[in-house]
Amino acid sequence: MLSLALRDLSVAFGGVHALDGVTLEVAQGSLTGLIGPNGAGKTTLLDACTGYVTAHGEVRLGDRRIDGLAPYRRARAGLVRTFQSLDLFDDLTVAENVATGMPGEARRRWWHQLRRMPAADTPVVHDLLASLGLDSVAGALPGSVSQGQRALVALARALIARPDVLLLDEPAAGLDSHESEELGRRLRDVCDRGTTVLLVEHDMSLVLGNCDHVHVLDAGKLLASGTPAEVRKDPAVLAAYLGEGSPS
Amino acid sequence: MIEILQFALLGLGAGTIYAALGTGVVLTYQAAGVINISLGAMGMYIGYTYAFLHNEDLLVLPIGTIATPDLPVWAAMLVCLAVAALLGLVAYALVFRPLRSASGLLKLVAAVGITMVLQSLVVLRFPTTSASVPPILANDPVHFGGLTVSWDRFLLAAVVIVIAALLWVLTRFTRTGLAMRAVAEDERAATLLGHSPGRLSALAWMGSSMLAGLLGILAGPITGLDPVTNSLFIVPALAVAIVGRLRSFGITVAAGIALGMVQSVVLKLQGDYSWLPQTGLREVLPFLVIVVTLAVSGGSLPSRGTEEDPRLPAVPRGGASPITVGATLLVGVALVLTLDGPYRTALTTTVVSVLVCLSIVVVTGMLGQISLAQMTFAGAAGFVLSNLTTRAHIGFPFAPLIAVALAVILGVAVAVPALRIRGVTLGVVTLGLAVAVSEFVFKNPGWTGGMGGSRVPELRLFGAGLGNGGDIGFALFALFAVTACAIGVIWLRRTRLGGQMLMVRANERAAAAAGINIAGIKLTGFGIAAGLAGTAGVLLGYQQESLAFQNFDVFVSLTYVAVVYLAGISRVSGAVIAGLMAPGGLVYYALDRWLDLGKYNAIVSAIGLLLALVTTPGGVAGEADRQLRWLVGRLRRPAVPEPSGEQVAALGEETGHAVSRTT
Repeated sequence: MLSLALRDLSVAFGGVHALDGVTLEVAQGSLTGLIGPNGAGKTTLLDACTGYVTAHGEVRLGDRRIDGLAPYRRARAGLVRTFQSLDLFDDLTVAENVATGMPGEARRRWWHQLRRMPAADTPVVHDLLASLGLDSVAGALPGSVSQGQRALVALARALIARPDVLLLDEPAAGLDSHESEELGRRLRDVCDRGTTVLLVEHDMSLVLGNCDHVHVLDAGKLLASGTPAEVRKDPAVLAAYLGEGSPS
Repeated sequence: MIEILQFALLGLGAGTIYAALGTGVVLTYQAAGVINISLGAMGMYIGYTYAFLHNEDLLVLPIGTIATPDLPVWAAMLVCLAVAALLGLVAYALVFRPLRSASGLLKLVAAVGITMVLQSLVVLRFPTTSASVPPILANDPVHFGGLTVSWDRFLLAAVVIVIAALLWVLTRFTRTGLAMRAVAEDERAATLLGHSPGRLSALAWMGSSMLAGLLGILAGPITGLDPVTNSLFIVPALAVAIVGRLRSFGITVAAGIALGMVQSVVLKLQGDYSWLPQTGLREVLPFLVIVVTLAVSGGSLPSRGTEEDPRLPAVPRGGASPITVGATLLVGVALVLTLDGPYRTALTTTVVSVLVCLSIVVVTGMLGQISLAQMTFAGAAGFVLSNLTTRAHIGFPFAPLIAVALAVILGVAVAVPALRIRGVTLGVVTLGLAVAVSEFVFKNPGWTGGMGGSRVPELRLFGAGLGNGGDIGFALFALFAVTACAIGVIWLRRTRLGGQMLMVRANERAAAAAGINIAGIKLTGFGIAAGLAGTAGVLLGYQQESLAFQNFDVFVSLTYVAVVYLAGISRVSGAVIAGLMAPGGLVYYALDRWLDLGKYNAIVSAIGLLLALVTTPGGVAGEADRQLRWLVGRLRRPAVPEPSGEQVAALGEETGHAVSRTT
């Protein structure tokens, strides 16, 4: 279990400042939400943390500075993410997709790489799939299961790595409201077992109903931070994001 | 200094050809999303058509010949341009329209097929392959400031500059041009706005073919006509199109003319300074241009918004069983013992080809990277073997091992650009590399024996000579060696490393998110593939007892990629089928003998390739496997589990998705 701290993180695409000096902390063991209107820079922030875009500023995983490391090294250091577009491996079955996330699988010495690929249906993979209700599609290819199930496969692939910090990019997209509630309970559970979670999400009830702490991003800058109750009342947030109406 | 300028002006002719073909490449890429490497061959073919129409008053069409009255030059040119437009339209309608949503690799392979068709058509339809044409443009010498240049070079350059300017005006200021740019940006959105990408693509194909044809006609007197040399003009043309980011006509034309001039100056320097390499320096330049441009511009070319996400054929699960491998090996041994004469030679050629195809299966089928330079690795190993055995007198097994190790190092070095460059762009880089190495190294008489070829002594094992490709000893040796390699590739598919290669192929960023060192996997994969190709080069040397640069020509690499794609690029069985079908392979040779295709063989196989690409884009092996599975499934009649309500509901929302994926 580690915390994630960003200091003065900036990303520029040409002349556009997608992220402009963001400083925030995701407390150790917390379930933290990151919200903001479209184009606020939420996904860019995840990309900057995980090394998929060139960023300036500091990214710390616990005490260790990880900015400057290649994406795969950050993943091995314990910072694991999912993608909004899920990015499943289309040629691998659901179980195999999940097994690719097994901790240590990728960092074995080279002679182990020439050993036979371990079977995907280990008890660990099986239990995780079962707990997400995916056991019936374990042998199916991702292209043949529903969008909601695909989202869960992506989540499972990240969870099985037992990351110290987990970054989730809209995991509830494609889930119905019942499944979304279930996801919230599950994320709480993940935190209780010792993973720090940063949740980027459009589903307001999922974020405000489950998170310990919420950061609000607008136009590349941190607009507000606080508990869900505080953020709900923050006038700047209301103006920028929630608009006139109340959060649904 | 004045001499340098003189040579620079002499390069204007070649530069103009690059500029024009480069413009054609930009045009087809923008409007049709194809990197059309067949444009060089198109120009060459139209050049021949014009030569025969002008010299013999015969309009030679792909099918049929029309006797014409003695046409004036302008009329003959118009007729030839009409033929060019028609050929462009046919190529689009019959090949690229059906493949419009296929992967970049498939389109590239199709363009290779078109090149092969045009080259074999020339050999078949034009009795003399070295036709000379009287100059069309006035070529009086022009003198100024101590320089003398033939007037036609200026006229040629002017023609191309005017055409490029017209294209620029067309794309900037007309509705069709706007539509073309819109299609290039986002095909789907442009379609929704009522533009027809099909019509635009057809126009672009006709336009670029006419442009290539025009240059083929006008520049024919300057360059001479040759089916291979003229087709290879596409490599410098690709280089300058890349300098123009596959977008700008102006930059492309300027870069083309500049490249021609620099090449000419290099030729002059080569003569002045004997310490400079005396062969191939000119041909290395386009490759350098490609590499430097991509390095400066930061990796890949601008992506073109296509309608669908193109994918490589699926990788089979599991792979071949020991029984299949054993049975194949037994059949091979039986064939070695029963066949004789040229059939046994065809069998050893098959076996060596299988190994080349295996290397393509690893690098493209498993790792997902397009390499058009596999024969370059084979050649490197082959010539090193020749030098080690004949000059340094190092024998088996050390000479082959050193040769293969060198190919591996070369392969890893080539993978370095692949760390940043993907897809068809990487294909273009490797194409440039293949031409550069072929001209610079393989044709260098000091290193490889040049035109005469270099000798490889007979392979001796435990004191006994195994003979060459026609002898049982060597045939068995090659068969067992290649079977061992095939088992290695099957094994690789099942290892952790193989799994990670598939992950890199499927989705690089997700692979990185799973902690996979993508650079490491790519370097390893390229190294393994180059090692396989190098082994094939070594075997080829022992088989033929001599090697020449023609064995490792870029068109040989292109043909192998095309054939293995056709057979099934993501499976080991695909490599075996490809080896049988490849030129000189058993099936190829037997068909040639039985059907007595003779001179029609080349064109029949080229058209067969295109036909198969359009009808079975997944490859023959994949299709056979699918049919077999279906049959087995029908015979077994397994109990189909009743779908749950949830799955049925899921199916509904999934259908639209599944359709977009399978088409």
